[in-house]
Parts: sequence; structure tokens; C-alpha cells
Amino acid sequence: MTTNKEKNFISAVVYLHNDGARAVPFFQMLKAQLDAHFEQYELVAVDDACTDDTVPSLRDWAKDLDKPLTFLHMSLYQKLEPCMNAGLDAAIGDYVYEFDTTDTPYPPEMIFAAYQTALAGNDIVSVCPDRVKGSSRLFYGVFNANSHSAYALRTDAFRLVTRRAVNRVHASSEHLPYRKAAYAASGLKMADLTFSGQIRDKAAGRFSLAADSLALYTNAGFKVSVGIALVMMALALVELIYTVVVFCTGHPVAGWTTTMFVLTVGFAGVFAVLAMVVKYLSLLVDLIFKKQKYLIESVEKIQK
Amino acid sequence: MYDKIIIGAGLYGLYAALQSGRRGQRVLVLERDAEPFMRATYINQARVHMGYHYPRSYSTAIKSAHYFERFCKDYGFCLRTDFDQIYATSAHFSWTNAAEFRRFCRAAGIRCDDVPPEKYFNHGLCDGAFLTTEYTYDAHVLRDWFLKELANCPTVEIRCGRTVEKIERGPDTWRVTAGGDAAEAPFVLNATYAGVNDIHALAGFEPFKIKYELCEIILCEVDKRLYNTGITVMDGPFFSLMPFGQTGLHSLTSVTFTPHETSYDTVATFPCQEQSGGRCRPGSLYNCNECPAKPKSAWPYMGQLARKYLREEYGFAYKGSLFSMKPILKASEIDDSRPTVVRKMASGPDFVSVLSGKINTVYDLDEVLAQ
Repeated sequence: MTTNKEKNFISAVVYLHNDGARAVPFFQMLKAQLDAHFEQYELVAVDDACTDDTVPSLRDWAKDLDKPLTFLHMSLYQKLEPCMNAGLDAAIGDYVYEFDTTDTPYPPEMIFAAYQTALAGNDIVSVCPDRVKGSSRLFYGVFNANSHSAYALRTDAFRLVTRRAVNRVHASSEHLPYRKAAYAASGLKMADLTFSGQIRDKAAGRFSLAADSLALYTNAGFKVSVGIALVMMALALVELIYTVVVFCTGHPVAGWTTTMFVLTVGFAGVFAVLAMVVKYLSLLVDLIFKKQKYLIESVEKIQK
Repeated sequence: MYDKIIIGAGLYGLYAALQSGRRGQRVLVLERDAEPFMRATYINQARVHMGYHYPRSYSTAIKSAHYFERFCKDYGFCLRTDFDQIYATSAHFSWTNAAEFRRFCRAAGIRCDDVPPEKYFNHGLCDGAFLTTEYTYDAHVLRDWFLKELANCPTVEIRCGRTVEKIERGPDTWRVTAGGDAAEAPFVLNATYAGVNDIHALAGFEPFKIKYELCEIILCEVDKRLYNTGITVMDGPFFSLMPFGQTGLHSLTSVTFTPHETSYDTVATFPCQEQSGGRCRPGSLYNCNECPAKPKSAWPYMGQLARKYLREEYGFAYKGSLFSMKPILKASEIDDSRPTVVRKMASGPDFVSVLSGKINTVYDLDEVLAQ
């Protein structure tokens, strides 16, 4: 039988955490799209310690699947990024779809459109909504203003990455605290597709992720600490001038207030800088020493 | 009237026949297929185990290593030894890691020389790679040797194309009917591997607690760079690409894609049996490799998995597939021990069943054969 289907091997990694009723329709939609366009593909479902019926219902749906579905059962709830890293490590495809959520505000055709965009020479293709929440806009605004990357990050519904991109980002760092930023910083070509809509899902732990990402992938933290240092220097100068003025005008007994002022302001500043240094150090320790960032309980493959 | 009836002309069956025949015993070997060595003895990774495969079971490892030398001495003619066998530990999803593997090899007293993983694997996929000593055997060369040796034993008779239909217990003998002919002996050896419970059902014994996997071994043609190299990535959902005996081909297998289907029933029960045209049914397993209902190859997946790990310059291409049924003792799931089971099911008349997934533990039979 000859088909016009694409010959490249596709992996689709899907993050699941208590997705309940949404999981099966999502996989049905995904399978229909992949079946229509690709000869060979695999599905990887990362079960981030689901406690509802997500896994049983999906297992039931997958019973007669002619393509392999692999479950990665995480030992405990670890949130999006470590789980998607695990999924990425398990995927064997030449092209890997990353679905961070089973929320689908985009038309299904966008899935294949992303692949076609990738074939046009883009190693990373993000599919983004045209409307985003205020907090997201703020984060990406700060991020993009301070990052070294050639590409601006946006809120995205899912993305497609090539094996080359995966290898590239893993070559620079074993573990990716924030995949999107790592891709953007990989130096490979990136493209965005936009659909009209908005993502309703709010990822858990996104605030600490945002803080980590800003510290790791941008120089925002560095800028702030430099700013504080400068302000402190200015304060110290003002103090110096004040001390000189007091000394010259001949009332040196007023030293108590001055000393207290220097001590409090100075120490507050020093501690602020120290906090940032500690943040950087903890991130470095994290990156260097914690090679296995996720705990896998079992790998389960389902195929008819 | 025979001294021994052996059911199954795989390695274990013919080994037992030869040992007994050399002692002048009258032996009848009953084989269901058209010739010996057509199933599991031929259709497997052809690995002569040194123990590397069992980093979570020292007992299996040490036993393998012990038998390895003896097997190489006795059957060196069927081995391929002139290749670098590389074991690697995957950086992700592995139940072991480089440091553990090194420690394990030292404890088991087997060779394990560090080589840079980047020589063979894409960056970051393996955290350790080791040059080891392990060989591969050629089942056809081994079969021909056994048949030649057995030809010198006039008291041994091999009947092929005979499916065992009935097993009856007499006062002093077992009466085994196969292909319409009955034979009697005071000793029966059941060396049918995946068919072990089929035979137990006929003889009225308790089944072994096993599950069945319908497995595919892919044969590959490989580039010059891979020709003298065997690769095994362990210990988890990975793959192995290593020379297949002296055939010049490599076998490709993977933990997740080699088993196509699994049956948890006491006798192998698979949906494909209905499409076998009456050749195969629960309780009477046909040769999967000869079966018209054998599954579609998993090459797209297995090839892709190996491709993900191996550097681009190590090329390999699909040549063909072999299918066989593999019984797995249910007890050995958590640790990865693969014990050889030799169990005396009945005495006076004797009935012994053997189940082993490894070629070089064939010597475990010596004890029961000596009786």
C-alpha cells in the first residue's frame, strides 16, 4: 500500500495531571491527526501522579491501539517541567510534539501545520494563542527584555521540536529547568504559529518556575543586584558628604544617628545582594549535582 | 521400548540425547517441527551469557560466568568471538548506572573496561560504556555438530514432524504417543521451552507459573564500523544490536518492542492463533516463525530506538525478522534473575521438565541425566 503520509517518525509527549474527562478526547483528536498525516508515530503519556480516572480511562481507550502508547508513571507529583523532561527522554521520534496541556483552544489542523513549518527549516515551532493573560504578558515582557536569545518567548499551547534541537539543548545542559527558554537559547531556528484563542489552563508552580527561569536564562537578577549595589554606593556617598558637612559645621555629637543609618541601610543592601548570590548558587548546585531531576516509578507500553 | 524419551529437539533436548546416547542408552527424541533447532534455540539474541545482563541478580550473573568458559571450551566452533561487545548504561530510565555496573562487574569478577560513551552514542544518552567479553553462537553450526555427533550414536533416534498427542503413565514407564506412534520409557525429559505447560497438561502435571511473550528478533545488515561491534544498552527499556552467530548479520532486539504480545494464561493463548489456519491453538503451540499469522515487524520502532542512541556513523539496515515464543517465569520480574528450572515432576517412572532461557546453563541437566 502506498500512501502520501510522512515517513518521519513522530513522538507526541503529553503531560497529564488529573485531566479526567479531557484526556481521552484529547488523545482521540491527537491520534486522528497523526493517523491522517504520519506513517509512524508513538504516543508518550506522562502521568504526573494522577489520582483520578485519567490513567484507567486512557488505558481502556488504548487497548486496541495499533501504535504504541507509553505511560510514564511518575512516582510523585512533580509538576510540568521535570515530567516533560522525562517524556522527552523517553521519546524516540525524529520530531517530538510537546503537549504541556490537554486543553485544546486551537484547531486540530495546527498540529500538522506545525510539522510543515518545521520542515521549512525551523527546529522549534511554537503554536501560540493571540490572547494572553496579564501575568503571562508581564513575565514574557521581563524575560524577553533581559534574555540573550535571538527569539522572543510567547505563551504557547504546544510545540514541535526536532531531534536535533533536543540533542542540542541536552548537550548544553543535562536537565532543562525551563525547556522553552532552553530551546530559544539553543541557537537553532525557531518559528511561531498563531491561532485565535486563549489558554485557560494555569500550570501549577509557574511562579517559582518564572523566578528560576528569569535567574537562569536572563540577566534580570544580575541587573537588579547591580542596581541595588549602585543605590547603596550612592547612599554611602551621601552619607560621606553628610558626615563631612556635619564635621565642618561643628556638631560632631550627632554621630549616633549617622552610625545607625549607615548600619541599617548598608546591611539591608548587603543582605539583598547576598540573597541573589544565594539564589544563583542554589541554581548552580541544582544544575550541577542533581542530574536525575525526576523519579520514575514505571514505564508501561501499550500496544494491541 | 526406550531408556529415555526426550520431547523437544532444541539445544537442551539434543544435549540430553547426546549425553545419554554416548552412554549407550536408547533414546527417542520427538520434535514437532520439520527439523531440530527451529524455535528458541535459533531465534534469540544468540548471546552466550557471561552475566553482564543481570546487574540486579548476582546469583544469575555468577552462574552465567561460571558456565561461560565451559561452554566456550566445549562448543567454541559455533561461536563468533572476534568482536567488541559494548555494554552501556542509559542515562535515563535505567535501573542501573555506570558506577553500579562497574561495581557489579568487579564483584562478579568479569571484565569491564571503560570506553567513552561518545564513541558510540549520541551525547547525553548513556552515562557509561564498557568493553566486555561476551560471545555469540551460531545455532545452525551448533545444530549440524549435534546431528553429526548423534549420527555416531546408533541408540539415539530423532523423529521430526511429530507432535506429542498423548502421555500416559504406566506402572514403570511413560507411554508417549506422537504422530500416531506410541513409545515407552521409564524416563521422560520435557525440553519444549515455550511448550512446557502444553506437555504438563497432557501428562496431568501442575503448570509452571509463566507468562508468554511473542517475540521478534530483527536481523540487520550493518556497516563496516558496526560489523565487529556488539552494542547492548541496559538496564531498562532499551535495545541490543549484536552479531548473530557467524551469519555476518546483527540481531536487533529491544525490551519494549521485541515482545509483540503477552499472554498470562497457563498455556499460551493469543488472538493470532485463530488466524493460524488451525496450526496453532492454546495448548499446542505452532512455530511462530513459520506461522502465516505472525505479526507485522516492529522494525520502525526498534530501528528508531537504536537510531536515537547510536551515532550516525554506525549504520544498520533491515534484513528480515524471526519470531518465537518466549516463556518467562513470573517470579523473576522484580529482580532480573533468569533461573534455570530443572524440576522432577514425577519419580518411578521419572518425568523431568526443564525451562531455561540461556544456552550456557545447559549443563544444569547433567545432574538429572546422570541418574
